[in-house]
Amino acid sequence: MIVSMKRLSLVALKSDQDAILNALQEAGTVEIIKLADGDVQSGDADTVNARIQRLAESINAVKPYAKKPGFLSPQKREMKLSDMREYVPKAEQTTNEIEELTHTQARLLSEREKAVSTREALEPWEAMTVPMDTVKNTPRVHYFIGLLASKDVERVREQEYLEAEFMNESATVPTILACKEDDTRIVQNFLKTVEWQDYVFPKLPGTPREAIESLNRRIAEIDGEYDAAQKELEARGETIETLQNALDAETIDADRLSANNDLSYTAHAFVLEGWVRDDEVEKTEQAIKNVTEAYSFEVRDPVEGEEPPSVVKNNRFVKPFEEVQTLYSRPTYGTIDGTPYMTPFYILLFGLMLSDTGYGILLMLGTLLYIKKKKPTGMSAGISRVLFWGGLSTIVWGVLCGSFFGITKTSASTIEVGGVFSQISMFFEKLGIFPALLDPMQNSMVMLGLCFGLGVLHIVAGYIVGAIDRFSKGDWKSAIFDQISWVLITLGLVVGFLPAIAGMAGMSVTLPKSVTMPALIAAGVGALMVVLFKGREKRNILKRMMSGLGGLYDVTSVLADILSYARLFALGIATGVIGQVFNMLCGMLASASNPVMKIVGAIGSIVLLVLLHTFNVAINALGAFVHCARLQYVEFYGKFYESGGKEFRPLSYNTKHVQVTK
Amino acid sequence: MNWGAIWATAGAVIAALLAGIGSAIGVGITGQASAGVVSENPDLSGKCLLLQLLPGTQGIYGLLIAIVIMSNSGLMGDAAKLAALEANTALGVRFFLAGLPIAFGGLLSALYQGKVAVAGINMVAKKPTESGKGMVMAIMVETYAVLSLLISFLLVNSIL
Repeated sequence: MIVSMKRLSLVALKSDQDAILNALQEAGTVEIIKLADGDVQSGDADTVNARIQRLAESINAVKPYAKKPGFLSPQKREMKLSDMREYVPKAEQTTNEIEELTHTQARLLSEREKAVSTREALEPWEAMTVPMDTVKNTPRVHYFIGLLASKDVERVREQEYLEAEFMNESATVPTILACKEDDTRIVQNFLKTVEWQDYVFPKLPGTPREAIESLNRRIAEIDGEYDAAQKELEARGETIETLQNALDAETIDADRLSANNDLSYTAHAFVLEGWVRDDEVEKTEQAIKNVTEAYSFEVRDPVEGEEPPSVVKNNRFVKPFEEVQTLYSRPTYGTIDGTPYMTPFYILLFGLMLSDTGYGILLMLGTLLYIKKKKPTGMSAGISRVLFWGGLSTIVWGVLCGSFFGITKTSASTIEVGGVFSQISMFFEKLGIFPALLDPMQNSMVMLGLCFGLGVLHIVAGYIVGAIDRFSKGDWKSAIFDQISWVLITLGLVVGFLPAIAGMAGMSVTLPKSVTMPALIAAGVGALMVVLFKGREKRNILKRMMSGLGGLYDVTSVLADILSYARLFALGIATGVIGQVFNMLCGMLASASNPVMKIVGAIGSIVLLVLLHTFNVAINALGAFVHCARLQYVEFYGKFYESGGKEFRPLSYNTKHVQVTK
Repeated sequence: MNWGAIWATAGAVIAALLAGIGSAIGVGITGQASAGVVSENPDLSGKCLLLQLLPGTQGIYGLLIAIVIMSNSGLMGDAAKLAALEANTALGVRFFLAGLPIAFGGLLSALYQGKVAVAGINMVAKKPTESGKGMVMAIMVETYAVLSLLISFLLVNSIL
């Protein structure tokens, strides 16, 4: 059900502003609408946001060194807001320390890089025996220092006005040239004709070799300092909770402070406009009343042209499935919430795609453990509950189709792990319920037919939901001609042609003429309704008929929708057969004739079985989740749902790490 | 030459081979995209992993059909079935043809699903809350792998 929203106008004194916003944030019921043009930007929000940014960076810096939360520890710790705020000063100090450490590390890294590149450039000059600072120009002598390509060494030697010293014989030879000051210009021109690259000695004392040694010492020193800073940083890992608590406290403050910018002001009062859920109006007013007496609190219904946020409300059982709907889109305000109608189909179809009792048990226990221990909030809370119910459905379908961890009546007789599988199979035989309905591997066409049948049910239900919605809005024309007509066409054609369709699949289904004839007539009536009234707003009779015939063409999309349910069967056998294949592989492993190998194989196969089946249930549960969601979005919601609702974002405690308690 | 067995083997090979190649490429390119996103924001690794897994299913479908072909045709050691297969080349050709839908359907759908999933991962990088929509987009492509799997399976099962 979509909750109706009220537009709130609140006027109160500026002196009460902070207290009122605090109370509203705690209540978490009002989405504030931006009123002013933003020129009243308060500096407070900016400084808090800067602090949040720094806290977040510090958390990322120490996160690798923090104790990992246990696999099953709760997602958020519970804490009072006032307690959270007490962490702020300590976190501020820690943030400063962490920033200092990370800056130091960055500085050390860049210095190290520089030292390393200086050293690398110096290495070719190691053979030089004089200190580098002695090679400098005098009034009479000009030096050229650089790297010369080895092919040009001879040419340099031939120049009589040059004195050359070559440091080694590599491809590019480190070379020092000396000439008379007067010949400088000639040498410069000469050097342009050979492969020559100027080099400048770093400003370091001593010979290149001594300089390299001192650089090495410096690099070792830098490494030491870096490691020390690193140790300090790693020690800060334990402060992560402090930082996270402070981050959430500051985020709460920042949200409230930025709300200040959305209000409009007079000399002494402020005006707040916002959306409130109809059922939370009283709670909201009470929250303000607790703070002050001086206020004006008015609510009204939304008017034409306003777009209130869209919130849905459902009972505890249906609520988790709202997340599946939200993954698609929220309903437009004032239309219909699909969740309660989609829920039973979601559960039904999800189970069919896994259809294995063992996997169902695994899924149910797994999600139960997750919900109890991890206490998820938000989206993961919804999804885990959806999977829980899906697991239950999987158990039921597993019994109906006769599969338990891939063991079926037929598979167990051929594949063995130490006689266990046939024991399990025999146990099920004795119970007489495996399979309770049919074995999809043996009767694949019947199973496929069952899937299509469920699809027809799902699609017709979609049309009916749409029809009821339109009747309730008083649009009976649309309800009958756009929705009911298609129920008649779909059901009529399916029932009328059932014997023929079954015949194609090699089954014989006989329906008396007293059933098929009325069904076909109903389909005809439906088609006639579409042809005559699809274009009912058109005056021109010819255009109207054309539009109606065009509308009838939609029968192909209904057919495509029904065929789309083949995925139920395909994913079902994918899960089942892969499970069987895993059993078979492990069965081979355990069936060695050598007694020692048999024991090793048995142990190995048990480990493998656990791993492989966990993998299978995980990947197929993911597949079942999304494919089932798609069947809801495209095939079911396509018949009645209007997407595009706006999210409701009340001013509230929007935290990452801490669940705020009272 | 036992052409029946060779054709049946070729059917199993092409199903596992092509679908496997498709999934390998699909999971490969999505993995690269995930690594890029996770390097910026490690918190998104879970969401990226789910998207990365999606193009991996085609390889499993191919494996599944390969194994069903092998077990139904007697290549896994059922002597009576194998004898029938060796006596009848047409039977082997039917197994081969049955492997084709998932081979090509799997190959191409995994490739394109991988591309869609990469786009989805880029979307997660910008809007982490919208990962569900990315998954639904990718699953639209998977539909055709599932349909190919279905036809391959029904065909293999129809050969006794």
